[in-house]
Amino acid sequence: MSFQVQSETLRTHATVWDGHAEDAATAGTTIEPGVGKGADFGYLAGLYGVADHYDTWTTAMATALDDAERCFRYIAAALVSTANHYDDTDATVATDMATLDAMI
Amino acid sequence: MSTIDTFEQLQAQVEEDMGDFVDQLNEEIRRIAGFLSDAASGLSGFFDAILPGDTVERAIERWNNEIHPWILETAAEVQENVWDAVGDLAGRPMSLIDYAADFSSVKATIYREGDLAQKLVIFNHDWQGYAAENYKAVATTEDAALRDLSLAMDAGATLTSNVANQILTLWRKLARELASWIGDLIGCFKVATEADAIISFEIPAAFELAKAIWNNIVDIADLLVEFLVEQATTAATSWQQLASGARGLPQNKWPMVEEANSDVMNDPGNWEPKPA
Repeated sequence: MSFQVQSETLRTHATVWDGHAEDAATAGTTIEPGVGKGADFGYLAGLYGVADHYDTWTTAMATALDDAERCFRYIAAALVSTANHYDDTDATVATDMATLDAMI
Repeated sequence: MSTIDTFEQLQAQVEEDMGDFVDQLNEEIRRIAGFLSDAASGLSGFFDAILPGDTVERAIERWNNEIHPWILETAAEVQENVWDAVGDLAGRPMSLIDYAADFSSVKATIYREGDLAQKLVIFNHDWQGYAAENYKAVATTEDAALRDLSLAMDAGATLTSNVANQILTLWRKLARELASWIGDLIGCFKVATEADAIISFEIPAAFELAKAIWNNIVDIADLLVEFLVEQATTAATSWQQLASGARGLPQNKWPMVEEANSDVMNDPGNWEPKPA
């Protein structure tokens, strides 16, 4: 029995998550110049913790984007692996579960 | 005055203003001292004719013992206070504006409303079962996090550009006020060098006015109070909310795919294609 139509749906979703992973990676690069640059607010604006809060937030956002990219790569791989399993052709091979597990 | 966009431009502008101030002040001091010297040596015959002889002596004594030392002391104090204030204003607002633009750029591209929901309709038509349910829960969580991160980027961009613009506004205001005060101050000295003002002891009146203007510069910290209050209240509170994750991405942590969910999704046996 062929499940090619259904597996295409998984591949479509995998493409979406791969796209999100690329977006997250690009976003991380985009905000990188401003991460931890609270000192650019100057001494006066740094009073009352504005600069520290900025540093805390930008660092957290950079980490979040890294984590997001990792999650999205995993989801895409898991969906492609399942699609490969159901296609069951020589050209497609399901990814080993341990390999998928290591991605997340 | 050219537009001030960087701290270096602010420093250069203040340095230029203070340099002009010192030059003009020295010129006025020379004029007053020269005038008093002329009066004392009898070169100003006009005054000798209309004023008692000891008036010039008293004017010179007061100039030497009170006015001239006060001018020098206060001029040094003004310069010290101005540079202290300028030092407190160091920062890179144009860089902040660039960072804000970066945050806005990410906000605009990282999330597309409704994208996942539409694709899940097709997914629901084709897949069912334990893994499918786990995937939908994970996908929905991740998609919501993208939306939250997008909102955080928007808030961060707004707060960052707001502070940057406040800094620029403050710099330009400081430079403008300083130039205005210095102009007024030198104007007082010009009045003080008028011959009859010195000899008739109207100098103190002119210097009282100069003192008031100088106090504006000495109290330059007042100019910064409004900015500080803004930082202490609205801006700091908003930044605190963003930094703590109370706004935008909850706790500022990305929701990782939980192991229990991934274990189910990793096993092809948990995926059930719907029959055609």
